[in-house]
Amino acid sequence: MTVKTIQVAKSALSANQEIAEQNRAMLDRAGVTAVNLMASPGAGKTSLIERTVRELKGELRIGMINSDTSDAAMDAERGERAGAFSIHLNTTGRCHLDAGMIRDAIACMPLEEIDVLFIENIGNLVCPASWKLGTHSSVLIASTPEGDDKPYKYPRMYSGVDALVVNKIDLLPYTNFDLNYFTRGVEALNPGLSTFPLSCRSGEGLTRWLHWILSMSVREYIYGRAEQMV
Amino acid sequence: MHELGVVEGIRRIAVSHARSAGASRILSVRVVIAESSSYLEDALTMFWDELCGGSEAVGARIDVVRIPGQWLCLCCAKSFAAGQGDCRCPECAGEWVRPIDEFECYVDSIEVEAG
Repeated sequence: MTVKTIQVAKSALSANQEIAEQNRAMLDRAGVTAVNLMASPGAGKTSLIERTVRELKGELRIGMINSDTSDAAMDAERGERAGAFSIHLNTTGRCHLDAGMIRDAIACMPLEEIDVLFIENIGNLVCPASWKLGTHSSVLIASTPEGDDKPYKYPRMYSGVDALVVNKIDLLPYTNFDLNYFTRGVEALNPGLSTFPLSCRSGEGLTRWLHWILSMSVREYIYGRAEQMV
Repeated sequence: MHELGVVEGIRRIAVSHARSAGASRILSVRVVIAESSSYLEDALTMFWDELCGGSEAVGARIDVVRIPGQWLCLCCAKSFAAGQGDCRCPECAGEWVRPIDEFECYVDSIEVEAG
């Protein structure tokens, strides 16, 4: 028997990365700006989408892929009621979305009728950070009742996102959440990160977030068109 | 649980390289994981045994090696090996650093039975 060693040096997630790039190309061709929304369970992912859809009605056509580990589709139904084109994705127990799941999901969506697509990842601050989906940006939602120590406990998640929403600021007086301590942790991991303290319930602080979504959508649309013209 | 998808990726890469080399069987796979990653060695090994049935990788050993991991300094664009507890760039002392995904978990090499 001849034994041979073959050098490989290839990322275990390379297949996912390739599909993510294909997803991105498909979204760009359709003029869709996609956002990967990540958070712990209960931070307000669906609430943020719901509120954004309602506030931007008439400005943007919004799509939503809601994922959960079961068939419980109540979050997708909330998005639908708010006015988003919504589909529910059951990961059958898997703790994160991957690019292949998104490829199959966007194949079922009328992309030409969507400007911004929110992809609501599984509520989890660990695994979703490693799996690229092909979105234009990744947004993390923290919430005040979760505690101010999360950047210190989940550095991988906080260091890899493009924007941070701090939800439920209306509950600040009722929690021990120290915004300065929290911000120091975020700043050490991701300096200059665009941060949006807001409350989906009261609407406080929402305007800056809505402007950010609008400007990103316009920017990606222009870049996408320009690249297609080259 | 997220190790399942990673192991599937490792198996595909190993089988594809073994086939390209005309190998009949994979004896072992050397996988490198960064300390900063969230992958657990035990979970990788467990899923590996389950996923390899019916392929050239059946019965192959998985050897997992942990390394400090590579980070990228966004201030000076240099990459560096992560230190214990200190994530600053050794070149420019920049604090704006990120782990490089490609080095989180990769197949370093495979050992095959030739012919």
